Amino acid sequence: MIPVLWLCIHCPKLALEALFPGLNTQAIAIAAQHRIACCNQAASVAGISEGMSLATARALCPDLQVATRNPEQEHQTLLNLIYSCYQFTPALNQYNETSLLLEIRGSLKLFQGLNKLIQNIKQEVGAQQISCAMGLANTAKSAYLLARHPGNKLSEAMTTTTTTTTVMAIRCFEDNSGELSDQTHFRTLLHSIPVTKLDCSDFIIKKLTRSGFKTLGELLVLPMAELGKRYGKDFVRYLQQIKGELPDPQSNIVFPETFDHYVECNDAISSVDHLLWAMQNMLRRLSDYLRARQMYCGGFIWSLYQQQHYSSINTSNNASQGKVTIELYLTQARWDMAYFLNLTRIKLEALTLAEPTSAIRLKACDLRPAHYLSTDLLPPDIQYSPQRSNSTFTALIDTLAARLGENNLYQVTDHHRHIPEQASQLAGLLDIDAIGVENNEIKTSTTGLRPTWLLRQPSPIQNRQKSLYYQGDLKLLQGPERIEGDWWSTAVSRDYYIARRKDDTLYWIYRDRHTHCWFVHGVFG
Amino acid sequence: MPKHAILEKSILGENDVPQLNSILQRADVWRASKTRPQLSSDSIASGHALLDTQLHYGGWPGKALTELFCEQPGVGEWNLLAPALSQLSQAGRYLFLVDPPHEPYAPALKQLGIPLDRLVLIRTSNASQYVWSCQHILRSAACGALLAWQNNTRLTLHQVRKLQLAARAQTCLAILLRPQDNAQQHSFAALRISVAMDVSSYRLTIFKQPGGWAGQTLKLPCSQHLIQTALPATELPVHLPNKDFSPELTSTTLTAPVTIPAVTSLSTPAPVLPLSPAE
Repeated sequence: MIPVLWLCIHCPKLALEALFPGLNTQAIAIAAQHRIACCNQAASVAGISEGMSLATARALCPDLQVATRNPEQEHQTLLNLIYSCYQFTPALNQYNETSLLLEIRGSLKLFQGLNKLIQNIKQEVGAQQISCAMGLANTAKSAYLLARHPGNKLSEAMTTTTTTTTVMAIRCFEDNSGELSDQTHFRTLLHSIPVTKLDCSDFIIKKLTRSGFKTLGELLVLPMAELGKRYGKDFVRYLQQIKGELPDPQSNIVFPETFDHYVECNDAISSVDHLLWAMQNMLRRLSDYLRARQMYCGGFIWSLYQQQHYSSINTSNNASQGKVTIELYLTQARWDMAYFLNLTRIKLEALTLAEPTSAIRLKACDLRPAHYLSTDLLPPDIQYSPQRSNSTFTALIDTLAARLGENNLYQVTDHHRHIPEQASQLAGLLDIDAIGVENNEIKTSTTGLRPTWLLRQPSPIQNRQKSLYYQGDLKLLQGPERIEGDWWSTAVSRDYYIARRKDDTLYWIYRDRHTHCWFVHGVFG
Repeated sequence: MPKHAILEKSILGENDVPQLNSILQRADVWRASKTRPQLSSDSIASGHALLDTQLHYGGWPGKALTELFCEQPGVGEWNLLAPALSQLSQAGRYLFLVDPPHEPYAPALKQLGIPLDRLVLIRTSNASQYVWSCQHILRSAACGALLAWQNNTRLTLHQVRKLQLAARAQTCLAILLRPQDNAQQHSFAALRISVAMDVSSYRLTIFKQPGGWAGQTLKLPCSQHLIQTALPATELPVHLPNKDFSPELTSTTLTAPVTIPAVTSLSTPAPVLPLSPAE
């Protein structure tokens, strides 16, 4: 059996980075129960450390900005990270509040070795502005321990790019196969982990330290049965899972069936640029989601909740109050983030937001399985091709619909009807039912000449001195062509003529045989 | 007066042909009559042989804006453009109509050879939307032709310039249809043609065109299918929809067309049809 290879990504500053991504110049700290839970580099330079009381921290650094922890936001950030790491392996899940586990044995070949894969993962995590530490081991629990406990004490201040632990742990594994090559080094790394860092209850840790245990290595050499008597079955199982003697099944992430993302903003957003920035992040997540599930999305709905009203979204009574909804439906389903963002931008430009936005919700609709088309060999601007034209056409229609509204795009459809105005109809362009109803060629030999412009409302013709008058005298050229029909509803019986006005414009006019009135019905263009 | 004209005039005045020829041999002498350029690959054949010979580039400019001045809908704009539109749409490209004055009639478009599934109609509500939409359409590779009617919206010179710049993005037919009174104003459009209807032809006046002199006037004959004989009146279907339709009226209406001489050509108008006896 090939041993699995677990990579644990531990985000020690998640509480901070979930709320203030990428802010390093100003001293910021996250407080929980009046103590500092997490602080950024600027704050630690000022002498603030974790566990310090708020009063001490404020005394040390008067400019300190303090925020309370937001567990929900942290969870969302970690989920985002999981969704974007889905591109590296399908077997991954959240391990606890601040870390996630990836099984990467199966991905080594695809990403050309362990080093390159880890490099890619680091880049992805770095792009999300999250600092992390990594641990690599054959068991999930030891990978987590190695990620939590840096290999040497100097590297306590962890940075985004490299951690000593990862480097040291990776050195123990073969680059290509991922086999454990340097067993002794790996064992010393694992065995040097202090017992206080173990992932078990405070009671047991206290008991262990009181008994004089300092590192994990001292525990692992002892017989399990004796340890079990003192510290309980669960603790022994935990140790055995670290060693890999007992199975330690991990579940895999399951993507939800629908995409519904809700983000609350720290400060209400009033500028469109800031709103777009927040929306871009949400769209990136939608794009990751779609790619992971191999789906295309046919449209999406933005809901912008304005101040104080967002709390009422679940009560649904005044759900529409203080909420701006932007609906975007695409002609062709896609997953392209830049494309979604462009449409959103066009919609936003037409919108005036009266109040600042305090929360945003993005809902994807019409998810459908993706189908792949091979891409062109030639760059897109070299030559025109119908296939490419189709996707550029739908892109153009989406853009126009976003600015003008769907109701302002039409197509002309023809129908096999005898009554002239029923033979041609205008239909909404995005109205799928209307497209290509009847594509058979009309036999032109049986119908007479038809005008290129049809007046939807026939315009009455006056009789002046026994001649027809419509903005000028009309002279009949050709006709009549009798058109009768619809006897079952409103009977139509007309004689159609082609007439010329004084300025040589040709009209298609008819005489209603019921009322004996003359009408202009079309213009020959 | 252009420079070359002064040059030619002074030389001809001396009436010295050999000297003239030697001067004309020089590479730096530019003669307006010899500047007809090669057929540009960007131009789109109009489908009217007469028009193609009058346009210096041999067709509608493909990467520039064309202005057609029509006083009203129905001066032959569709018949003028139909061959090019039909050719472009059959190549799989889309035709966009922005703010058409009336509804295009599907059977007629089919008779002109324009496939309906390639036709998109767009309605805009103000000038900025109008210009924005036209610009986006012109820049898209899917666009084969853009016909934009300027009905109620007034376009500024600046906005026409925007459209002309957008038209340069790729090869497509970019046509702006404007009322006649705009013809007197300056414009950035490369080709400016006025269209009017005559008894049996379309009268075109070229105000401006790329690649050489403008000022040509030409008459394009009406397409053949406009001259078509009507169904014989004796074969008209007889259907009496309801009983209070008086028989005398029906009989006069049916016999009335028979008294009209059969019309064979549009150039000979039929006599005025007698109106129904009720009047």
